[in-house]
Amino acid sequence: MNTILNIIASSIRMSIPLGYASIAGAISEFSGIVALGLEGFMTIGAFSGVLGAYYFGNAWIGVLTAGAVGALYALIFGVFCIKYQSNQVVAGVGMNIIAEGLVYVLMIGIFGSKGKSEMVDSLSVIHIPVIKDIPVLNVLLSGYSGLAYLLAAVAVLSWVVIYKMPVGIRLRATGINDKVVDSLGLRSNLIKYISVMVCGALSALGGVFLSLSQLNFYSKDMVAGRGYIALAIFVFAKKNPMYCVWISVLFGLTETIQLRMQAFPIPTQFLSMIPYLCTLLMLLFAAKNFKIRRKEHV
Amino acid sequence: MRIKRTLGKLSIPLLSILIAMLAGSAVILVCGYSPGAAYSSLLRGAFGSFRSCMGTFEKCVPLIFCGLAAMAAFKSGIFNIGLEGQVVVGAIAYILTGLKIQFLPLPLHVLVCSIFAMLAGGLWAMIAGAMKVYCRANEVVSTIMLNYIALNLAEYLFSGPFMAEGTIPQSEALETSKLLLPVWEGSKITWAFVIACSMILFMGIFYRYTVTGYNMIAAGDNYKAAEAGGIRMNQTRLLSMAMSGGIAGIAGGLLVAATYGRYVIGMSSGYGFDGMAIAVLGQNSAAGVFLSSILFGGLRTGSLSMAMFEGIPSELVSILQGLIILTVSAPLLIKSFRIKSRGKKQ
Repeated sequence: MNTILNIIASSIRMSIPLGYASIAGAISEFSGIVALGLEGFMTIGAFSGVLGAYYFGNAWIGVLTAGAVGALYALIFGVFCIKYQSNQVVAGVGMNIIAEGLVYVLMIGIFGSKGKSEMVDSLSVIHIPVIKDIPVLNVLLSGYSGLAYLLAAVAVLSWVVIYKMPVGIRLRATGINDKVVDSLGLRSNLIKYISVMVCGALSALGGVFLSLSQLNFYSKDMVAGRGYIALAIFVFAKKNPMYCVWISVLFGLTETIQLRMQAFPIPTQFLSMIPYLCTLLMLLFAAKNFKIRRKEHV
Repeated sequence: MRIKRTLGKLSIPLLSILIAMLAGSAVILVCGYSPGAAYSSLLRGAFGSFRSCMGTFEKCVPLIFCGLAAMAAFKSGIFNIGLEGQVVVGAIAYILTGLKIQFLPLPLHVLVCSIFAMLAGGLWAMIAGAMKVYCRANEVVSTIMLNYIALNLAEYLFSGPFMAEGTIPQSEALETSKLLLPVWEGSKITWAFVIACSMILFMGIFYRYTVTGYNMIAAGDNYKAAEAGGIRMNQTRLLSMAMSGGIAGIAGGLLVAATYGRYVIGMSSGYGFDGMAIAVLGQNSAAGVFLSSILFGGLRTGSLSMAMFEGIPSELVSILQGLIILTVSAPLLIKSFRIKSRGKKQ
């Protein structure tokens, strides 16, 4: 019983970066912009969070820095996609490459090492007052980092905003046909810019969870394709933020299983394939409604 | 007229390189280096002397193949972002068959191994292709996932069952492979470079003069029109994906045969995305791929000398590459520049 509870709790912990990133991707996708730069946004977020914590000595300031930097970085992507009508896939890949290179160069410049940054302040675990004394719930609901509770809030809030508020209808309409939105006197480009920036900020929070909550430093390639997995998740979730969270937990489960099976005599490389294989499987079953809007260029 | 058209085609890539360099110098300044010194040492390291030119030509062989591979997918409207995985699988196939059949004479050995590399890369890409065609699974995500799986597979193979003696995770060295000889004494232009150039020619001819090539381009330009015109979409897409993967597989094989002489873990890093960048920068034409592979090969060699002489981290180049991709992807950005400059003249 206890092992099962622990596995669930660990899955939830592992799912948080994916949860943030997939909600972020869904919001951007709603406005009609395929956020292929998620991987880059997460990398930038993970690194800038460490920088913030390093210079100010406080992990929460690191989180804020990550959110702000992520939003700004995504704004660049937005300008290219919205103002200059870039091919979104190509621009997204470009953003990912820039993020990786930028973080490498800054790592060398600031910490003098490519591999690992210095240790910084990390986010502490929060125990919820009453729940922490109830037997089963204390494992399931209490004892996560603050970012986990924030994710729950973000998921509910974004669900309410997207499906229950006028803003959400405008957002979804923009993705379906932005000219109609413009014709109604609303500024579809503004909606797109805002949603891309929200996407950048949220996925940066996902990245910062990796560097400031799971660890307390930035290590090279720590995002490891989670941005791309998140893309598959929100497709499978039909862009619904609540589903995004649940599917992310399933992915967290695969990562937990992968960690737990390291005791068995299976080569670690095969274990690390598990999340990617699961993504492939999920893609096979995913709805057929996900089409990347191709511009004729390229 | 013809010259004008060519110039018009060149202007987008050239302007975007210029813009990327301007933006790149801002990054260099922020990082506390001098852009002038960085660019001049980059240029000198890439094309400054006979030796560095040779190095550039050596480096651009796998890049040419990766660029062509990306182009093959782009042409029919598929984003094959998983080139790196196909390169890795091709390299694995090359080294494993190569080690098994060392008794064959050199040309035959290279040929057989390359065929296996091509098949492996092609089949690996076909997984994503089949998923796209039959299940409408988005190829961008699936190819990336296949990348990670291939990388893990290689890591398992060459740090496990096929690891060479010693502590470095790599395969046994291939006896015959290093013998991919230079064309003439003292140059680094190997036969691999010649093969790459003939591949460029082949692809150019393939897309211009064959029906299959025409079908692929039609499928990419307007798939509805192509379908209405009787082109079988599924077949065409699968074929171009297989072609793309096959060429990437050869790139992996050549990486083993001509550059490293064995499989070294991590040797493939960046080739996939570079290939994509090259195809985009080369405006999806065979000649463009050739020119931009030389540029990217130059960036690779130049970055090393930049790191050595100026102490500027070589990863700066990947920022530059990313910026180039970003600006090339935005034709309107370039157009807005051109319109502005025209307005000033009048």
